[in-house]
Amino acid sequence: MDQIGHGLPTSELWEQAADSCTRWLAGEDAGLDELVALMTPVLWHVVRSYRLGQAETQDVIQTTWLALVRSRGSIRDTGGIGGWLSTAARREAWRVTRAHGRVEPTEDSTLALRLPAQRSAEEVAVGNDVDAHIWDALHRLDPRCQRLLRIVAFEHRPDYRALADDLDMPVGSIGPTRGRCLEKLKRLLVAEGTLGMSGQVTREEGSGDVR
Amino acid sequence: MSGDSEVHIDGDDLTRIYERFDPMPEGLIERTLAAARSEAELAALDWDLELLQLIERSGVPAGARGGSAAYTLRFAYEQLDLLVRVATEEFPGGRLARLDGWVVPPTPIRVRALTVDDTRDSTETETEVDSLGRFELSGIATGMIRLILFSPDQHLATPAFEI
Repeated sequence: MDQIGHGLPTSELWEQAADSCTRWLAGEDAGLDELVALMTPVLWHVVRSYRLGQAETQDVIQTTWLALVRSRGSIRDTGGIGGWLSTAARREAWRVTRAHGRVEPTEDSTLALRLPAQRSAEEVAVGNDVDAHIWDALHRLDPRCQRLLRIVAFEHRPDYRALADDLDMPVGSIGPTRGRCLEKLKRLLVAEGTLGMSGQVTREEGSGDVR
Repeated sequence: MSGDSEVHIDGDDLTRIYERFDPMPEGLIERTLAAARSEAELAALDWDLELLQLIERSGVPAGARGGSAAYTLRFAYEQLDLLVRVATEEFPGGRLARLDGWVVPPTPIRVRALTVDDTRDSTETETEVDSLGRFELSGIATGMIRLILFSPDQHLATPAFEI
């Protein structure tokens, strides 16, 4: 069941969520189960973009689902259920962040995952795990870029108006800002040698490829 | 030897990277399902429950670490505060949890602990809040539960939490 929601194109995921929601509202209990299985992985990433700890993130996710079940009677547009859940989760995450009066995470498993930054330039250049370098570089972006990139990576046709409100930026600047965030990410990777100037992965001949 | 491969970092790459390096915790879907189902079942009972909001947590559920550490949760709804300290104790038959609660201001409330996950038989344990606002519930099977508070003028429920 954990695998549902992974490996599906986002548009398909959103359509399935709408279908599950429709069936749930029609009285089929399994529809709610499917909706939870489909959308919980998405909500995980959306909420983690607020740099909340694992326990707090899980609390926010539960609150979002309880709110959905409680508003069951007022759902009109099941096609928008993905966006509804994502927006509700972002607002709850933001509320919790403010309530704690902090921006930085307390717990951080991500610190342990940032180890690649400690490698020397040569090791970075020859390292084959490009994804690990990208993950590391993501943490060196400003918090707004980090949040925007992660949310957009999991949303299907994000509700840019709600997202703009939540990120406190004009609605027309979400797309361009995201583009600039990606450019910054690429520049960091070029500077450390993970990507060549052309945006290609730098690998040296005979340099410890996995055989 | 592999040649250079073109890399365009786009949304799909990032999706894959987030899923790989910060995956959701194991069992999250199952726990979320249990909480959502319990909410749907409670809604069907027409108890007109208001939801207490989790304000603060400290410590980790003892069950997660296998230790005997206690942890505390604070919930609130409007003017009512509910503090719960969760501790687990080893018994010959296994591990059981004990809850010490404190309601502020002290209010005559009947407290019911409701197990919400599918792994256990559904059991209900009840007690009353005393004149100082204290209550205790012991011998509860570890897992996920919700507390339902029946006060003279309103009915409240906590979100599900692990004990």
